Amino acid sequence: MLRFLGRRLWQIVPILFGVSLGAFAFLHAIPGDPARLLAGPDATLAEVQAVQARLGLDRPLPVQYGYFVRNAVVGDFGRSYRSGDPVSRVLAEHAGPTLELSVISTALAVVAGMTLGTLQAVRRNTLPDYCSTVLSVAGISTPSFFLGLVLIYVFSVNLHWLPTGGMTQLQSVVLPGITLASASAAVIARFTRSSLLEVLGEDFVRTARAKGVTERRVLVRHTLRNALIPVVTLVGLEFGFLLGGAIVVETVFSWPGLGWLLVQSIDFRDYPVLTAEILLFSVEFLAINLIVDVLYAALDPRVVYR
Amino acid sequence: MRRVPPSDPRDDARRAPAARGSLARFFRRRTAVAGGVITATFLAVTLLGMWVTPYPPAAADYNQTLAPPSLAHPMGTDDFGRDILSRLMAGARYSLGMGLSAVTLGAAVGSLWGVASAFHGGFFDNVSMRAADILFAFPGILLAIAIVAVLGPGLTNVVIAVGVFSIPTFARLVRGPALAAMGQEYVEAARAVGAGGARIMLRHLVPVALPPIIVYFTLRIGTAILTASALSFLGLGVQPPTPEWGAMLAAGRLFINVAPQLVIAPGVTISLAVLGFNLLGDGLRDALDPRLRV
Amino acid sequence: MGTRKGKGLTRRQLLRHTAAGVAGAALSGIGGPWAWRALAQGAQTLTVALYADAISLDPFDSNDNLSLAVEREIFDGLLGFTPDMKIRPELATSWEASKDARSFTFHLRQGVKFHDGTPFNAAAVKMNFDRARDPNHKLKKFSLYEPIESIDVVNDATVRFMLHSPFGAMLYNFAHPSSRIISPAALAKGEQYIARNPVGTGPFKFVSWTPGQQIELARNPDFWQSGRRQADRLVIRPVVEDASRVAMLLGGDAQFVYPVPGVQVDAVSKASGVTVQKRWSIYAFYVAMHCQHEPFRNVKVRQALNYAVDKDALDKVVLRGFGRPLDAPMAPGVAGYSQVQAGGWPYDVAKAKSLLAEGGFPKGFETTLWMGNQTETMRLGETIQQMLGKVGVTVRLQPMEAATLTAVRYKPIAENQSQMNLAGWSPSTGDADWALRPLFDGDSWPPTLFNLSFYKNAQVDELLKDGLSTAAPAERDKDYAEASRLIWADAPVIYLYNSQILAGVRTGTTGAYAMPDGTVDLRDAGLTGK
Repeated sequence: MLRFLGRRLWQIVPILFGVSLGAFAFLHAIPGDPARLLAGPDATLAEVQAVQARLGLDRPLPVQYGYFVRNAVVGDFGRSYRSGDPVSRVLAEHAGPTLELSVISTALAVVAGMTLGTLQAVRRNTLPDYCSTVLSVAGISTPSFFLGLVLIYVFSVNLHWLPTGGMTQLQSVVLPGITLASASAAVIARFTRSSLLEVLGEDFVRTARAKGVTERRVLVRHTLRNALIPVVTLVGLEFGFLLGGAIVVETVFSWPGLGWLLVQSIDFRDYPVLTAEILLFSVEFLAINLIVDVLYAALDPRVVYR
Repeated sequence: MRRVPPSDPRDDARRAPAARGSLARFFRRRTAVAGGVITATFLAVTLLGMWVTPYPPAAADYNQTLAPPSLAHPMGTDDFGRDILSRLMAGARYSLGMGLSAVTLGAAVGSLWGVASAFHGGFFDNVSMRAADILFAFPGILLAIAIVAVLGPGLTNVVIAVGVFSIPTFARLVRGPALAAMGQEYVEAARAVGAGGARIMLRHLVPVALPPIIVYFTLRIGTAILTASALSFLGLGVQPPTPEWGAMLAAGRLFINVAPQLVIAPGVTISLAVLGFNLLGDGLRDALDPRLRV
Repeated sequence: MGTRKGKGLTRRQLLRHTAAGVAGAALSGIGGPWAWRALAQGAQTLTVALYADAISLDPFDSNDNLSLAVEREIFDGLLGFTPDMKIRPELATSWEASKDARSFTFHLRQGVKFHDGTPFNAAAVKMNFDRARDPNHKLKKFSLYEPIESIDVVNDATVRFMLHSPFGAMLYNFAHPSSRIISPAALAKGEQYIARNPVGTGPFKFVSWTPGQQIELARNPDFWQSGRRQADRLVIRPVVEDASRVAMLLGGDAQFVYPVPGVQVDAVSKASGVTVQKRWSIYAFYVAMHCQHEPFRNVKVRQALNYAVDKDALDKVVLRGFGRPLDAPMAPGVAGYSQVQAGGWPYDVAKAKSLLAEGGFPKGFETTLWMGNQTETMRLGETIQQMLGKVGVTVRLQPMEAATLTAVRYKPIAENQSQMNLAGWSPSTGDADWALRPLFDGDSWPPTLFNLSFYKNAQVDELLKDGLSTAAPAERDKDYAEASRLIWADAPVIYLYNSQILAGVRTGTTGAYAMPDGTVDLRDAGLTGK
C-alpha cells in the first residue's frame, strides 16, 4: 500500500506536466484573441498589436509555452493578461470566497442531508420517509439559477431578510450557501439512508435489540456512528467538488470565487489564469481521487493494488 | 463509490429469485412508483407534443405578449406572445431527447473506457484512470465553449458537450465492479479457454457492471437536463427559437418579477421531470443494487 | 527519492492554497463586514452596481466602459463630457483651436492639487500626454494621441499641443474618458502601480479595490469645484447577472444600478422608492451585411432587407418602447449628426419583395446571422428572423460567446466567413468621425476596425477624410451630412434603432447618471439625508 501511495504521488508530476501542455494547446485551439479583447471594442489594429506585444503574444506558441514551463517550475505562473497581477495573487484573491462558500454550504448540506437521510432510514416506507425523500430529491432536481433567483426575490426583495448578493456582510453567504447545499444535501441524504439501512441489518444491531436496548439508543449509540464513516468520505468528495467553484451560483449571487474568476477569464481569454485554474482543479481532483482509491482498497479487501 | 455485488452472503436472504425480488422491492417503495408515473407521464406528453399542441409553438403574436395564465393560455404567453404550454409540450422532445442521448453517449463511451481500463490493468489502467480524473477536473464550461466554438452551436453539439460531462463518472463507476470481476474464477476460466479481450469485456465484464450502469443512467438523465439548462444560462445552449426548456428558463429569467409564468412554468417543468427520473433511479437502485452508492 | 519530491510539491501547493484560502476567508468573511458596519454608521455610503468589474484604473490604458466609469470619479481631464455628451471644461478653463486644426491651446485651472498633494500645472499635462502618445509604453489608447507632434509648456497655466496634420476631431479626443490627468508623482512609480493605485484631482479619492467584489472611493474634501454634496463613500460593485442587479436595487442593497433591462422597467417603476432614469444613448444598432459577397453584393437586396424589418414592432417587442428607429447611420446624440430620413427606413413588405426580385432573389435566400449570446441580443435576433422570414429570407441564428464572436468577426476578408452580423456601436469620442469612420470607411475593414459590412465607397472615404481636415464645426457638419446621405442610400447595414440608456435609482440619490456612451458619471453622486 505504501509503495502504491508513493507511486501515485510521484505520478502527479508527469500528469501535471501533461495537463499543462494539454490545457495550453486546448486553450489556444478555442477561437479568441486576448489582445483584441483587452484592447477594447473600438480598438484600432495598431492598438491591438501594442497590447499583443505587451503580453508577449506576438511570440510563436512553442516559445510561449517554453516560457510558461520555465517559470511554472519555480512556482511563477506569470501575470494575468486582464489585470496584469501575478496569477498566484489572482487565484488567492478568489480562492478565499470559494472556500468560505464551500465550508458553509457543506455544513448546511451535512445537517440537512443527514437529518433527512436518517428520517428516511428509520421510518422506512412510511409517509415521513416518502416526504423527506421527495424533498431531498427535489433539491437536486432544480436548476440552481432558478432556485437562486427565486430565493433572492423571496428572501431579499420581498422579505428584506438577507442581502441580494455580493460578499459584503456575514449573512451574504446564506442564500448562495443554501442554493449550493440543496444539491449536495440530496446526495448525502441518499447515502446516509442506504448506509444506515445496511448497518441496521448488521448482527450487532440485532444483538443490541435482542438485549432490549431502546430503539433510540440503538440508533444513536450503535448505528449512526458506524454508518457515519462512509458518509464522511462522501462529504469530503462533495466538499472537494465545491472547492472547484460554482460557476452558476457565483454568477447569480455575484460571489467573487473561483467560478466567477473562471467565467471572467474565459471572457477575456486570460490564458495564464485559465491554465493555472485548470492545474489547481487537477491537483484537487487527483488528491481527492487518490484518497478515494485508498479508502476503496481499505474497505473492499478483494481490491488489491500492486 | 464502494460497491458490494448483490451476491454478498450478508445480503437480505429473503430475495431468493433475484428478478422477482427486485420487482417486488421496486413496487413496495411508493416514491419509486411515483417516479415511474411522473416519467411515463412526461414521455406521453413528449409523444403528444410531437403531434399536437394547443397553439403552434413558434407562432408569435405581438398583441398578446406576456399575457398571464387564462383559459385560452393556461400557462400564459411569453414575450413574443407565444403560448407557453405549447412551447413546453413541443420542447419536451428536445429536453428529454437531449438528456437521453447525452447520457447514452456518456454511458457508452464511459463504460467502454472503464471496462477496458479494468481489463488491461497495470500501466494502462493507471494512465486511463488519471486521464478520466483530469477530464473530470477540467472545467466543464471550458469544454462546452470549445465544443460549441469548434463545431458550431446547435442541438447536436450541446448533446456532445453535455455527454462529455458524464464520461469520466461512468468510467469510474464501471471500472470498480469490472476490476473486482477480473479476479473472479469465471473470468480466469474464460481466459484459460482462450477467449479474446473484446469477448471477455463484453460477455463477462460489462454484465457485471450493468446494474450500476442502469441506475446511474436513469439518475444522470436528470443531471443532463440540468446541465443543458446551465449551459443555456451561460448562453451556450441551443439556438433560439428552439423551445428547449433550459433555454426557455434562461430566456425567461429576466421576467421573474414582471411575468413570473415565464420562469415558473419551465422551471417547475424541469424540476418535475428531473424529480421523476431521480425518484425512478433511486427506486431502481434499491431494487437492483441496494448497496450501490453513486 | 522521486516519490519524496512529488509529495513535497503537492503538499506545498496544497499548503499555499489552504493558507491563501484561510487568509482570504478571514479578510472577507470576518474583517470585511465589521469594517463595513463601523464605517456605515458614521458615514454616508452610496452603493452602485454595474455589469462587470473594472480592468485597470490607468485611464490611458483603459478602453472598457467599466474602467472608464470608475476613473471618471477619480480623475479630471482637460475637458470632459456633460451627461448629454457635450464638451465641458474640467481642468482647462478655456481653450483655442487654430483654424487649420493643427494647434490647440489650453488655459489651465489654478490652485488645483492631486490627491497626493502634488500641484497640478502645465508640466503635469505635458508629462501625461507625452507618456500616453509614446508607442513604447504600449498603452491601449495611444492612438488617440498619435496626431500630436509636440507639447509646449507655454507657462505654468498654459499648454499648447501641435499636431502633425490637421485633425478636426481632436477636442473630442481630449474630452474622451481616457484623457485624464494622473499625478506626476504616481506616474513616476511605474505602470503596475498606476493601474492599481489611481491618483487624480477628481471629486473622489481611491481607497481600495477587491477584484470581483468592490471598488471603494472616498469623497475628496479638497475638490476644486466647491459647493457640491457628494456622498462620503462610494462603493462600486460588479453584478453580472441582470436579474440579480435589479434585485439589488429593489432590495435596497444598491442606490444606483446600470443597466436595467428594458423588460424590467415597468416592474421597477412600480416598486416604491425606485425610479428609472432614461436618457437617449449614442448607440446605433444594426445588422451588417457582407457587401463583397452574395447575396448582399446588390444594393437592391440590402435595401430590400431594410424595408423588410419593422422597426416599430422591434422597438415594442424587444425594447419595450425604449428605442427609436435610426434615421441616419449614427444616433442623434452624436456631434455632427444630421437626419437623413425622418422616421427611419419605412417598413414595406411588398417593396421588399419586389426589390428582392429585382436583385435576383425572387424566392428569397438562406443566410446566417452572427450575434452575441446575451439574452436580450438573442431576443433581438429572434425577432429579425421572424420578420425576414416573411419576405422569404431564411435566417439561421448563430449566437456566439463574446470572445469567439470577436475572434471570427475580426478575421480579414479572405478568411472572414460572415454573412450578416448583429452589432451595436457607440462612438467613445461622441463625435461623427468615430461614429462613421470605423464602420463605413474603406480602410476600416477587419482586422483594422469595425467595418463588418466590408463596405467601400470612394466618395464616402473622401468626405470622411475631409471632415477631419478642419476644426470648424460648420464645415465638418456639412461633410458628415453628405457622407450620411450616401451611406444611408447604399444600405451596407440594416438600420435598426437607437436605444435609451436605462438606469435604476433609489429615491434620495442625487447626481448619479448613466451616460449616453454606456459609461456612468458619479462625480456628483450623493444622498439627500432621508
